[in-house]
Amino acid sequence: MQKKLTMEEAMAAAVVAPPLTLYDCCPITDGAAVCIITTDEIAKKYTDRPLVYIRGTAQHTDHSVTGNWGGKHFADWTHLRTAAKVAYKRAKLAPNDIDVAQTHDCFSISEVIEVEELGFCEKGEGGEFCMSGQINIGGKVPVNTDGGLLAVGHPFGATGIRQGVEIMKQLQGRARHQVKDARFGLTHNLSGMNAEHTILIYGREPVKE
Amino acid sequence: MSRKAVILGGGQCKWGVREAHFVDLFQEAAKACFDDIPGLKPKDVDGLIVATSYAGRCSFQVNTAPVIAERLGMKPTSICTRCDTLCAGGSTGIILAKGLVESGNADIVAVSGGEKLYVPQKWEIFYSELASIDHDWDGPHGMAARKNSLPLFQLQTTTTLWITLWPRCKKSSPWKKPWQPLS
Repeated sequence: MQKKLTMEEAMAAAVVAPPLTLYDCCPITDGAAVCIITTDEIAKKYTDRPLVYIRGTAQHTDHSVTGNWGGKHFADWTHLRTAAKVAYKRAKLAPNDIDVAQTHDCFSISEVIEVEELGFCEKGEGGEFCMSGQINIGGKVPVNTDGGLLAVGHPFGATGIRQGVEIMKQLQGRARHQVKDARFGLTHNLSGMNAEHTILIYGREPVKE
Repeated sequence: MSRKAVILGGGQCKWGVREAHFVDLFQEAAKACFDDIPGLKPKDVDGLIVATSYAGRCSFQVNTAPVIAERLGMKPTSICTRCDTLCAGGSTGIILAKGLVESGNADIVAVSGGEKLYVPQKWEIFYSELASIDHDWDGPHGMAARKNSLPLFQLQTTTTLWITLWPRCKKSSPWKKPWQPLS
């Protein structure tokens, strides 16, 4: 999205699947992203910026056929809850510790469900959480500080890297829309027909052994 | 002391509707990445992971990792592979790179990802979306398929095949009776 959009235009846009309009769905996009992963010792030779460690990761799937959906209803994403639990455990953090997050907002409703399942708010309160500004900069957990999939687009393979690079910049204090004193960041991806969830948690310091 | 994985730097190309080949997009993104880490050169990188899902369908390029390595000036010695988990491909690449550098099987891994999704025939990308779900079960039930995209695809494929093959069928003998062994 490279032009200004008003709320009225977004709400009056063509309906894709009620109630989602054109701007509730991430656009098909051409693009690429690259990042460098190395060890802390080697990184110190190349940079004097604060190091951003990958603290914990998780990738979980419990079905691929939609008929085998594990939740009670289509807003009950049990597999995301499991992935989040594993990632927080590996990173030795809790949802309250996360200062900035990049969620997979392929549709605007996805972000609402994701902030619930990632533990940023109670189940069923995601809409209120988003609308009350808790996901804005200055809120409880700023989400998608670079615009997210809805704004920047979604070239499938590049999205996870774009999110990682944005979290890196946030934790180093050089992001375009900077969250003050961010220490821990989270990225989340959803793949296929909601078949798989991938979570990475980054931090300014490594997990203590 | 154990090895700890860090993200050293990164960059991306301009995203949107691009008049570019998918390799161009990777080159632009890698340029931005190496500009972000002034001391690091492509030849210092000993591993490359390429996350792309639709290069095979939209750019007619599979086995993308050696192609990208060549065009980025890298000669990886530890890992050079493509990974595909669709929308999470880039994140999966980072997870794999973390494991490789922490276990000592690689030192500096470039994780790249990208797609050229806009193709001249717009219906083609919507039709391709059918391949990203559980194709054998959800596909026939109509999930993620644009209305009428399947018959349209069949019609276009058949037409294209006929236009391509008809002249050959008429004049060259191997095409007239393809079941006979060539003399």
